[in-house]
Amino acid sequence: MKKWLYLISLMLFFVANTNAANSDFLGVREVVAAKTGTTVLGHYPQYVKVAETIGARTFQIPTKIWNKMTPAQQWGANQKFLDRMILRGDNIRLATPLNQVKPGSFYQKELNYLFDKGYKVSSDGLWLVK
Amino acid sequence: MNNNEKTYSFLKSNGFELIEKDTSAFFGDYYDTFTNDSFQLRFSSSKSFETVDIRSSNPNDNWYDLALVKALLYDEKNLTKATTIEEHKDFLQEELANIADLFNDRNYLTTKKRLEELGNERAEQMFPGVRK
Repeated sequence: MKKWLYLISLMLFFVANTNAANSDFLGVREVVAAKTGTTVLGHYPQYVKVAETIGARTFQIPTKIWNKMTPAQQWGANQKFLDRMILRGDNIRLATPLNQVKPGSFYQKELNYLFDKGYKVSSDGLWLVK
Repeated sequence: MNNNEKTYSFLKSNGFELIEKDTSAFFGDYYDTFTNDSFQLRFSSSKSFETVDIRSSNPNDNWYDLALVKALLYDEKNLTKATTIEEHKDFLQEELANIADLFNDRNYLTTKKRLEELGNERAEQMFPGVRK
């Protein structure tokens, strides 16, 4: 029963957040500096430091919820975050340059997803651009 | 909470001390940084992906994936394979003396250059043709 409630809650989160710019649902938050329109991607702790410095958006899920999710659910939530970022037309800042991306990491998966959507790395290596 | 205590004990018994640590409220992310005054090791987790990085004791220097140090020492050609935290820990325990050699004053500049080259080569292998 608990599992069903959790799954329904998770589905509601995905639906409720599809068009949200600044959301807080079931404790899953997207931290937003709406004025900047910039999202930071990278490995921890670099992406947190860069986002704090420039006041940008990051993807965040509290540890307790993250740990209860399956890898497929984790990637699903991550992918939804990226889709909303694309829809908003955010600037995409790379806190971790390509030559420091770890094989097998979520960050590698995020980059591959965005490259498949047609993004390229800017000549200074700091941004993803169309 | 991470399961690195055995490795941390090994490092401490080899002259390392914990100089910085942080645990995020999100994703279970953390990092723990050790130094022996010659170089630093950082254990971290990013969205459940645990890893180890290394840099010289100069805090302005770049961090390098310990997997690249392994590739350098073992002359590995395929750089796209994921390295588990257990592999990192085993490598540290087996090769700590050789790693220290790479980061001593005499060898560091050469090591840094090779790690930069390997990082670029790995990016090419992982993401061919993605530069604008």
